[in-house]
Amino acid sequence: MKKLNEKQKLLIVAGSAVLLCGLAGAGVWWAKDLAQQERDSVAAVRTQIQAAEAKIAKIPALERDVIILRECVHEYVKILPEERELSNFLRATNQFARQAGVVLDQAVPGKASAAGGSSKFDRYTYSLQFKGTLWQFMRFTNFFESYERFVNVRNFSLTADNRRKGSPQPGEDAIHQVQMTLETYVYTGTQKGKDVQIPNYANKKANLREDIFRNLTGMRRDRYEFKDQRGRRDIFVDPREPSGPVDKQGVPLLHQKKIIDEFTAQVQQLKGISQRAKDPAITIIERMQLERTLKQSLEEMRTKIADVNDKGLISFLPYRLHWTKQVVEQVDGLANDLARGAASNDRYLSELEIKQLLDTMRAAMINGDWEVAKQAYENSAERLDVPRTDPRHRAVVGVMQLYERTKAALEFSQLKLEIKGVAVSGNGRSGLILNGEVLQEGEYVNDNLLIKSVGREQVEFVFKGFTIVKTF
Amino acid sequence: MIRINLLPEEFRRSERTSFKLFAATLAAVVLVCSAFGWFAYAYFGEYGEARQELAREKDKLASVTERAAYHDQLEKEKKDYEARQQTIKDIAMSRMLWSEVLDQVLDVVNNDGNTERHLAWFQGVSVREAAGNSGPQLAMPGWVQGANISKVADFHDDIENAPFFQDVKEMSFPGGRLEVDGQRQPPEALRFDLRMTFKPAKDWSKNRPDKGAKPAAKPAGK
Repeated sequence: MKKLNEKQKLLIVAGSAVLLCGLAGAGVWWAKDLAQQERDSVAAVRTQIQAAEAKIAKIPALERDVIILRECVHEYVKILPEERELSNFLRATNQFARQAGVVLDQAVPGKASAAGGSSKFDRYTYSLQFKGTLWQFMRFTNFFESYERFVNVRNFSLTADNRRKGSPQPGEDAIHQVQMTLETYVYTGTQKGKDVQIPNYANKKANLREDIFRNLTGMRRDRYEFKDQRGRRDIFVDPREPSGPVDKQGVPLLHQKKIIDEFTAQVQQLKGISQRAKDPAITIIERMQLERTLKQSLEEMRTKIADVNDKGLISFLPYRLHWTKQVVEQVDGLANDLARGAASNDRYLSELEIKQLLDTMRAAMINGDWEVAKQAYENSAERLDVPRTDPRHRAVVGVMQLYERTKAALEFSQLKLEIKGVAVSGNGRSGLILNGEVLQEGEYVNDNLLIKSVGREQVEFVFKGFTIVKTF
Repeated sequence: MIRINLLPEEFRRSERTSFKLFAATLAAVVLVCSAFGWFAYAYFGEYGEARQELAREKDKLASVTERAAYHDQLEKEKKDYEARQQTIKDIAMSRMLWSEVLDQVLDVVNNDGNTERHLAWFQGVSVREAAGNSGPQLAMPGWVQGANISKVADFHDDIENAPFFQDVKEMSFPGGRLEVDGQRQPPEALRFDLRMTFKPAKDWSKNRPDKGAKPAAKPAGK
């Protein structure tokens, strides 16, 4: 073999080096490419992990929502059932008719139809025909609108009772004819699959009691409670009086108006008394007196109102509502206010009130107004019956002593005590001529009255345990 | 001077590698070794590390996948229930409570017993369901006592002030025709035909987000 010269050797070395470096370089490039792919995969997996962690973070709130929704599903099923259950619906219709008092002539089913679009329910209709008064019709309609299952009153038509030309007699209501179309619904978007197993379900459900309850009540918000006639007249009856002679039992309209106006004026007076009784500036004695007056007046008013109602004096339909609202309900309101006020107060007088009563009685007794003192006590007597253990008992005892003194003074003042003359003795018993009789100190005039001492200008008596001075 | 080596080749001393060749070879070896070292670093270092990291992340993903699947199941169940709840809300939105509307009409007509302002009564009432862009329609032909046409206006004003009127789109204009009934006292009454068209369900006050009280709509008439 020909020997290689240096240059050739150099070439070979260089070439080999280049080749090998190239291989290594390719290997590096390949390895880096692989590494990059791995890193891309890592990034993708991290993104997935982040997404999964974001979902995991939402699990507590989701569990909460699912538990609430699950516990309310029985309510959903009632409102929007999955089964048609039209037999039950018809039974409910019959029950409502009986409760409302309408006479149901017809309940005919219509065609079922899908709601269409993305809505997940079907509609089922029923056409009803029935007879009843306006109030029965209102109750019947309200029953359906408040029913636990969703029912929509799609259309209706009420034709007024025109069988009679005259107004219905008091106590009678007109019977109207009604046609009505009702619509109810069945849910078609049934849930597939079993419920998810939520760990510690019972405890979580117990903690969400209030939220579950709120969700349940929130779903039934769309309701109205019809509060019945409330003294209103039937608007489908001509309220005008028939022309011609007034019925023997009928009262002329002017007189009916006059009765209402008189009673309304009396109600206003009572309201004035009630307002004054609530004024914090007045004394307890005044308040007691006003409340007593109010109570008596309300009792009298109620007797008169019952008398008017029994005799049917207010027969004109529009006036009946006025009577109910402006007189009857107002009187009831005042009576309820009075009862509420009595119930909310302490049964007994407060310390301050007892002190005020004492001051009032003392002031009246000093002025010789025994009747005023007696009346002040009697107005508050019911609320002075405090138990012995009550700290106010001592003060009440003081009040009662004053009352006894007042009574004694009043009784004494009624006694006939005519003093014609006195004989005052420095050493011995003095005497006097009383009601034509000569009596001395220490002698009894009667069982309750003793002559204690006789002076030149006054005589001291002891009457029922109290010393009373009579001057002359 | 020319030097001739007469020894056979096999006995000659081998020639020394030249420095240039040696340096070049050395350099080549260093380069090649460096290159392969770099390759080893890239392959076993970078790539190896990346693989280990990927394995770790995959393990982590496996551990959270199950919980994420639990979330998906909960989400699906929630959507199912909410679909029914939404259906209930949709139906409720489209339902007019006629007992409430009529109760308010009764209050307006009775007017707390005040017959001076108006005294009205009706032949009947009919309600037709919503159609097209309009809501339900209500018709109540009736009368107002007396011959004073302003009482018809008073009655219409009171209807406009009723709470349900905020959901009314159009109402008939006030007006009346005198009728005389000799069998009644007073015999005069003004006949009118009260008609109302309600707004579409989506515009009812109970379905608005604010649910606030809005001013009553002006009667547009027919």
